[in-house]
Amino acid sequence: MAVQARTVSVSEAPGLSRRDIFVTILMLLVGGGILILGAFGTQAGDQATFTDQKLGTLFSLSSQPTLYLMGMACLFMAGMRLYRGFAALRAWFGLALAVLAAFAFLVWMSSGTTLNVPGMIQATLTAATPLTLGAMCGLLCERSGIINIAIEGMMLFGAFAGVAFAAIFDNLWMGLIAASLLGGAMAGVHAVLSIKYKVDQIISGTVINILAVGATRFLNLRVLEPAGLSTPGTFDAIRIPVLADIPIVGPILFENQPTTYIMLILLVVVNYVVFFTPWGLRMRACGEHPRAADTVGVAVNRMRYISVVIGGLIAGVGGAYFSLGQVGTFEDGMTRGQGFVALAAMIFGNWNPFGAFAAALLFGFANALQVKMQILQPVLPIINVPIPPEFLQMAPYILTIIVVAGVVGRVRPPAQEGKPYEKQ
Amino acid sequence: MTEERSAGLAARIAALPLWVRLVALAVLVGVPVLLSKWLVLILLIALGLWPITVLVGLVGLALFSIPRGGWPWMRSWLGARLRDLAIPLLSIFTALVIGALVIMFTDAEVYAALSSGQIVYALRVGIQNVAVAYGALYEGAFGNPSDILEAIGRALGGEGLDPILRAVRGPSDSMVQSVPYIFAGLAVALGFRAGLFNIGAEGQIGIGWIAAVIVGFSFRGLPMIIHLPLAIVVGAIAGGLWAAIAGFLRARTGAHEVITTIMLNYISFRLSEWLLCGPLEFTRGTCRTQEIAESAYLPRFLSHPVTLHWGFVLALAAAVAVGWFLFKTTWGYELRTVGANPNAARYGGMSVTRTWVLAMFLSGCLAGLAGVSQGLGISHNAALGFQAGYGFDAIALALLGKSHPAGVVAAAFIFGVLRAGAARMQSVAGVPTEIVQIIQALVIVFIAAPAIIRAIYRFRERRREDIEAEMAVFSRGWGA
Amino acid sequence: MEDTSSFAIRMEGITKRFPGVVANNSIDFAVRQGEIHALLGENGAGKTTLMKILAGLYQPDEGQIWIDGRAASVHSPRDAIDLGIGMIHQHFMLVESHTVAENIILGLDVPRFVLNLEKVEREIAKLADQYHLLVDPGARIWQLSVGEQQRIEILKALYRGARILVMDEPTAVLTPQEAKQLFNTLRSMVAEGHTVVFISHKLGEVMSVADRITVLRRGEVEATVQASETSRQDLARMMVGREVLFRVGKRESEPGDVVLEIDGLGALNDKGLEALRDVSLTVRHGEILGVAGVAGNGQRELAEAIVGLRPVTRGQIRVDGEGVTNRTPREVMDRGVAYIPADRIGSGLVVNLSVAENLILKCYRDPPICNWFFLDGDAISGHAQELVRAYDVMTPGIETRTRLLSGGNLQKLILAREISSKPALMVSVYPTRGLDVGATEAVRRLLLEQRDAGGGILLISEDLDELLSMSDRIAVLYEGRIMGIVESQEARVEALGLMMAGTAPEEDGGE
Repeated sequence: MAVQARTVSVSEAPGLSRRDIFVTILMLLVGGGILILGAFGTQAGDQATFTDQKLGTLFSLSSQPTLYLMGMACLFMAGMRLYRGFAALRAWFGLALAVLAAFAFLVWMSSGTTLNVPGMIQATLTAATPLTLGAMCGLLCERSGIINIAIEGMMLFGAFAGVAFAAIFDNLWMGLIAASLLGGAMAGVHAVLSIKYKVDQIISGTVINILAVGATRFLNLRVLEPAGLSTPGTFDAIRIPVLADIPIVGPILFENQPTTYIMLILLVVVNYVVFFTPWGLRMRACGEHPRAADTVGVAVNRMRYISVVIGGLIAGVGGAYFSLGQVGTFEDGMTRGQGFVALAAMIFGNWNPFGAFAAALLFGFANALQVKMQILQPVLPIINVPIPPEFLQMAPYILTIIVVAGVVGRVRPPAQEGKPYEKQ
Repeated sequence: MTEERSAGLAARIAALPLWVRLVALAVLVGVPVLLSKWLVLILLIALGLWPITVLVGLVGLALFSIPRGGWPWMRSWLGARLRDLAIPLLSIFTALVIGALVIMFTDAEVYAALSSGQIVYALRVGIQNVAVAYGALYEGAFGNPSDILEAIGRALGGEGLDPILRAVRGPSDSMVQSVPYIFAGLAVALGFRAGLFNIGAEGQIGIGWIAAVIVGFSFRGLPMIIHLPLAIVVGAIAGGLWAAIAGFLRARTGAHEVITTIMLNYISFRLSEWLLCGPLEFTRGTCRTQEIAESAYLPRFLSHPVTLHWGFVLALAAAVAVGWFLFKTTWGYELRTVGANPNAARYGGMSVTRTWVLAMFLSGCLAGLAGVSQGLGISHNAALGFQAGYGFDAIALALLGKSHPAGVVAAAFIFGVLRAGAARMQSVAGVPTEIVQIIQALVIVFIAAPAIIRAIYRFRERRREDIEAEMAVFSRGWGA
Repeated sequence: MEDTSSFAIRMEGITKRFPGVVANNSIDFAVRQGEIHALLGENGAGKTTLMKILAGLYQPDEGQIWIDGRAASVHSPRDAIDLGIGMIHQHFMLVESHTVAENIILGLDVPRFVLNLEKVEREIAKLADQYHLLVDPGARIWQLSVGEQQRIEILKALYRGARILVMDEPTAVLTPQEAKQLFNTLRSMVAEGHTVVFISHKLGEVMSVADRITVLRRGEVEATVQASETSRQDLARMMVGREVLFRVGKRESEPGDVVLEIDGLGALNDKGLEALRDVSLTVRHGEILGVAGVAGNGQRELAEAIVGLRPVTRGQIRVDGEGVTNRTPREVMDRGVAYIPADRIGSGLVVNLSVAENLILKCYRDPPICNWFFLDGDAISGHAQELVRAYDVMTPGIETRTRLLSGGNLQKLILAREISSKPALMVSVYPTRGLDVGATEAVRRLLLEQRDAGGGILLISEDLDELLSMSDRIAVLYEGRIMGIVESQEARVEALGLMMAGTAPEEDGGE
């Protein structure tokens, strides 16, 4: 199986592949869609106004011409692909397409009204926080060779422990630490099951997910609520002085919840550790070719234990985001499948921290857009129905399926993940 | 010996003229259908009074063993059964014990007693709590034996069936709960056999459920004989097609089914949210469809409060069909071969990709039927948040039943018992039903890692080959 | 004997048991400083086990090890590295997606926190220069050829300060030229004071490169000899424990019509590179065509292309005159082609299914096994019982899981299934690899019987002796090309060896 994946990435056969055709068709469709939005969804003379809370109007565009322009750009890109051959400029085409489509959608949505751009970006970043943390958990596990579909469960445990311990100690930070620790403990369970007992890693992950739903709800009903420990409150946004006063960038980056800062710091740290230290090199070798690592004296299973537990600690923080960052109390299954979106982000990002972050931002944007849409209720042209928010919520899942199916670019998981390592 | 005899019997049956065989078949099917009400009642009573049933069974076995050498034969027969059952039974037992500890140590009174130093008192309260909780669990799942006996007495005294029906509500609930479990467990087990990990049963259940309910309420005025099968088939096929997406992607592009089914799950959740709170919503604000027409109801055997419906028979039939399909047909053989070694399957001239799509489709059909049985048999509509985790528990069922239909049915029954009992446990003892989920998760752990159970009970390590065979589930990455 | 300190390695009384086998039975083994020492033996003689003990991958059940005259305990690969032992495994231990430099420093403690790959790459380049091992330290492993990967393995050992280099079957995947280059490297390393142990079962290379030779047989030391004082015949006798018969008695073949005709065949390997180039050959009924060649020169791809498991990019394949190019395995099978794959457990059998179920793998759609859509249980067990008896498969029963059978019985199971389909053509790949002497003879006898019954056989093997004794004609495959086809009666080992090394036979003018 792995061989097959590698084949595709190695030998970029010249000529038309199904993938190229798909991407080109996608571009034509997106371009056409934008043109339709422009022609039927906007009035001539409508202005899309982008604002900032402090600065007021940033800029405003005449929506119809803008949409026409962007639609044409999209079609032009598709045409260029057809004309110049598919191999040309492949890498940034997808990205350009995504940005174009997203921006066109925004212009259309805010046509005739205003849109708070920094607010939107900040909402995106906030929504991306748990996704990125979860994705980094998955990344650490999988790079070392342990499949982790229990990100959801670990985050849910984290969310629960956050509430419980924040209320017990009456200190949100204690809650955050406890959340991280319980996430790590659950990762420890996953690690012991899949490394020591060689349980199939997908089964082991499923166990943790089931356990998380049951145990947190059980404990919440039986312990937290009777003891009145269920409302510790939420973190306030921490404002970093001076930096937060920078226009536009300031409120986006420097006025956030602690979890967001932790996420940004961890992002850099994890990326550095995994790709630029000997430790990271060994860890990746454990996922790619554990026997090779073993023959040069790397303790494969110890490496895997460490990676998985660290991953769990990070996922726990991601869980705390839901309870201590957003709601301030524990709700059943409050992670709402975001752990699986995090898994999707990890795959989407090709097992790279910054790739995963980019994917998380994309998914976070879909989320922010969906919230915005519930307020603006834009109506699709021609068929005249509002866009159901559920469809935007589906986007991460659909995109992930498209990516793992290899229709728009290949991702390559660590070669030996999912296989228990046995010394000979 | 028995094999020879049955072979002889089969030959003799085959020698009969066709019309005789057809008549015999009709009688064999028709009589139980006509008598279904009574048969089900007997079954429920037997379940409620299961110690007596077991005793009767043992006596029967003893009688059966007499011509075969008596006790030694019986002992080896029982021994063989028990050896296979040791790990599963001990797993369940251990999980229940841990569940009891969880109940004990999450009780405020116990903590209060402990903190004031009354350790003995705390223990007593704890044990009392557990006894009350598990007592309620038992009663919810099997009914109260003395009530059942009393009700039988009153029925014989001419007071009618109502007391019995009330008394066997527990066993009935257990069976009702096990119906979707059987379907969903078979779905995952069939996938396992083909080497596919269908985590998406949850979503397929939902899709099947909604599809069946849509058929159920859209065609009013159809006769039941058309409407009910139509709803069932549409529900099954809807679930099957939903799952086949994952099978198709696996076959065509190599996308790992674990990821695609997880993602399809969430797509289906959002889709059903939209459908149920949008186009299909009947009364605004309820996120629920309208009731299905009565002609699409899966009929119930008995009247209230016994809700056991024909879905149960359907589920057992599905189990038989899956077993027969897997072990007695060429497609089943292909499916098992592909699951055990796709390279060898390819080498044997099988189409691995076609088998994957087919297996996923069938698996989805079975999962869809789990939704169908709930939608047409119990709820008669579809409402938001209706899947209730059957699909995820199904993974445990398939493991517990070693992907064998008979094993899955047994495991499904155990889970049904737990679920039925949990409802009562919550109302009587105030222990949240989620304790059952914890117990189920523990059961999966112990089944998947039998080494833990062996360590706890100091089992002899089994032969290496057996262990290897046990481990041969799916240890592979989800590459391409 | 000698002063112990002159030994780089001394192992005494090494015993290692695995479930069911004693891999090493109180082995004494000593290597002098600065020599090239060959460890010779058949497959399964215990060579690799002994060396894995030395490299810390296995723990011996009994025995003592001295390195450079000091008693040493090698509990882990890390201990071995610290003792200056570098082992190069038959399957390279390189992480494919990492770069050369990353692979070389993997597991080292020096750079502690920051990877300074540029510095490492400079050091590697220097080291490579010193030993004339050309590599690009920045390249990724999957981009490199097998020979290059081996050089990286050597560099990896040297970078870790290995003075004792252990190589497991280093030439198995090399062309003769690459092998020659390797031997030059080894000699220059020995000249620099390193010690080399290499494992092999090839007499020729052992004789030409080693100073001393230790022969292992069935987990025991047969002898340790000076290369200059022995002959190939002696070594061969020690290795197999009996005189090697170079021609087994077999009847004259009576070739009939052409059964397999391959014309200008081309195919790709798993990596998408060209594995077969313009291969043309024919096999007649009642004839065994041997295919010789160093492993990895397209043998597997040839077999898979014929039976329909690998797409053909160019050319034609005809069986009994009918084209089967790019047909499904099923269609090829139905034309009477049987296949004995190289990888018995990986693709020949379904080890988690029963013996009976494995025996119907190719006939489960045909009556009497299959009745429309249903499998007939009685027919299946009857079929299985008959075959198990006829082919003398040792199994507790037909319902036994196949994984419990021994290697020889697994192969007999495959042969039983394939021969019972009465194939016109049998493609058999390494049919005796890894089997003991008895099973080997049984398999060869079955193949000859099949030939005498009028079947055509394409026999792909690495074992020249086997090819010479079994085949009627021998084709030599080199880098996916047929270098020549010779009558096995007239074939000389030397000529075949030259062709396997890529030199065309003289008649064609040579290169």
